[in-house]
Amino acid sequence: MNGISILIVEDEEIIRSLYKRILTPMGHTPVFAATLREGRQKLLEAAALDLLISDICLPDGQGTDMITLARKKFPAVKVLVITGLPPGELDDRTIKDLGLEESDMIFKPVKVDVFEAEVRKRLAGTGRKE
Amino acid sequence: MPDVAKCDTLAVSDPGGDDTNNPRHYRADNYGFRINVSTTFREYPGDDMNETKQGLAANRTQKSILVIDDEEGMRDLLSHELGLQGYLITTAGDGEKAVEEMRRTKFDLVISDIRMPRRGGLETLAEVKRISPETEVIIMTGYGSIAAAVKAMKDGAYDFIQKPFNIDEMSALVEKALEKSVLRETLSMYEASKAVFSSVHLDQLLPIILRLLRETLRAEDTAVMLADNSGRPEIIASTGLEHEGRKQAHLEAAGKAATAPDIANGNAMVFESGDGSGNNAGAAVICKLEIEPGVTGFISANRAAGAGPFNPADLRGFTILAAQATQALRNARLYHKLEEKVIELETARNELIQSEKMAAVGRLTAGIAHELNNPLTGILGISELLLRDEKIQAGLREDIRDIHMQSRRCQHVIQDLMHFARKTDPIRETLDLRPLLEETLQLFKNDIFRAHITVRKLFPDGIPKVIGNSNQLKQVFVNILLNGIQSMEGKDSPELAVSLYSAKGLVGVKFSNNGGAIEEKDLPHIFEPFFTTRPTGKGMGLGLSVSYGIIKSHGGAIRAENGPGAGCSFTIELPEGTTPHERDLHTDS
Repeated sequence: MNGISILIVEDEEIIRSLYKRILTPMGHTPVFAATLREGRQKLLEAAALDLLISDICLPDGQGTDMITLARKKFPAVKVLVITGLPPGELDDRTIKDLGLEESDMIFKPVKVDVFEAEVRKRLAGTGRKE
Repeated sequence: MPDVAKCDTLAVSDPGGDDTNNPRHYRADNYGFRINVSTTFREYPGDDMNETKQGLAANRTQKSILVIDDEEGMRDLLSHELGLQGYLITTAGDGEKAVEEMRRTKFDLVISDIRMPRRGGLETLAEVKRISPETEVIIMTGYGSIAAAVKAMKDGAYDFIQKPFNIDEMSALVEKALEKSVLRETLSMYEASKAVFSSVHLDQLLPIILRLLRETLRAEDTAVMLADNSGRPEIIASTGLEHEGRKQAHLEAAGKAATAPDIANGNAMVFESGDGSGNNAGAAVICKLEIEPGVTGFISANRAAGAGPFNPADLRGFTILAAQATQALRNARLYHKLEEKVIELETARNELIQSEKMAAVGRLTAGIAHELNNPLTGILGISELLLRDEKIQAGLREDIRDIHMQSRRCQHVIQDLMHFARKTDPIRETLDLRPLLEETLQLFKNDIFRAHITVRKLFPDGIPKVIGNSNQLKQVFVNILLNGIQSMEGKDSPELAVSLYSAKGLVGVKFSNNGGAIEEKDLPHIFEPFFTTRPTGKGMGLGLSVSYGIIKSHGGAIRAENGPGAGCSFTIELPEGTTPHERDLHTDS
């Protein structure tokens, strides 16, 4: 454990495994959740959270709820939304209400180096070592 | 409304045929009428009513009789006796004078001697029948002229009476003849009304009204005018108004009639005919037609100088015609409105069906794209990771690269599909379409040169700007131009036209080419994803769908049409506008 805490909410197993394969060489040990319910549970158990990576379409709800909850408990949490929805599906208002920027949303299929860069960018300011 | 055009002035051939060198003009711009230009007026309904259309005046109190005899005694006798019975008698000493009278006034009955100097009874009869076919003629004969009397009967005289006659006998005959003339007038009124109501199309109705005016009133020039709320009348149809002075006289009369209180109830008003002579007083009349609130019509008629003033019977006929014309014009307007409504509804329904269909296809597409994006993320991601792994041997690496490349292709198809299904797009700027079109055309420079395509650009100045995403709009232009250029492959003298226009808050771009029409059955489908008329392998059929999606997300519309000529056109319309940011910049400067 390097002290960086990453929670990934993603219902597709293959994608969870992909994220793990990318993040492990970077020195991270992310926590995974496949549903909103599971995500909530993991959030409840977490002592700290630096980065939340979440899908939008989840089998039991919206990833946006996950973001709201995470922000409530950890106001400084960084967020990266990775969605299979077409750009524009989430309206500007919703994005703003979640405290997100356009750049916090990336769209599937995401390239490995883009994913790495986005994660790195968000963790750069956490003050902890990678 | 492809077969309908609004036009300002329309010259029409004269179906009556008696003044073919006298063109009639029709105007009906702002009054909510429809003019069907493609119609010729040679066969308009009512053309078959021939001789019975004159004299709309019935039930008038005093019948007028013209007595023609060279014997003064006979003239006095008939004048006196028939005058006592309430008839209005005019006398003439010979045929020449009689014809003059006939030209001036309309008579219900003519009583004519058969033997007269200068112009004989038979000749006079022929002339009377020519001037006023429905006027009955009674012939008076002496001994030895029975043969002539029989000939007169054949030529259209009502009856003959032998001199000397008993005055009662004459009275009875006069009464009978006039009865027939009343019947005839009723019939002619019926025919006129049938003619006026035979059409709800203004272009057919106006010539009928003009002709009835001319024939009923024996008028030389006639006009139908309309005035809207502004109150300034305009001539929408006329005959014999080539002289500006005459035209002005009709217009001035309409201007006065518009406010004259005594003509409000369908009364006719007499006006100065405008020939400047002043000796034709009472020979020009106008009637106001209250078509509907805000739209007033006028019909006016003017007789030739010397033709005499209108008598009460003429005026009565005129007002009846005015009432009928009012109703007929109302009908024409209502019919036109109805027609417009039907077209509007049909268009709206078709648009609704089309947009519903496209929305359904959009939802389906978005769903598929979303579902495919997840597995694709796995395939692309894992293959990318594997390609990074240096331990993987060369042969296997090639295979993985193939998997990766093929997956990328899938990704591009899906991205195109998502473009089609997209709802909104965040990146918007104020755009001038002209440079964007120039830039796009530049991309096709080589294709255009190689295929010898003539490009016509119509980019007028002062086209407003639009808000949009320049890359996306360029993509749309590329798709459409590519389509057009491909459709012209192998065609003789290929031609491509690109024009910009603005109307009703929209900026439009129209791309036309002569590469052949789109089959009618294909037209409703060409924006659907994967719809293509090209052989398999030549394009996937996504270009137009993507264009559709982009234009929709810009709040615009895109449509394809066939023609004119051997080609088709694509039209894009975008709402004009400037981003708030841009507006601020302009107000600052």
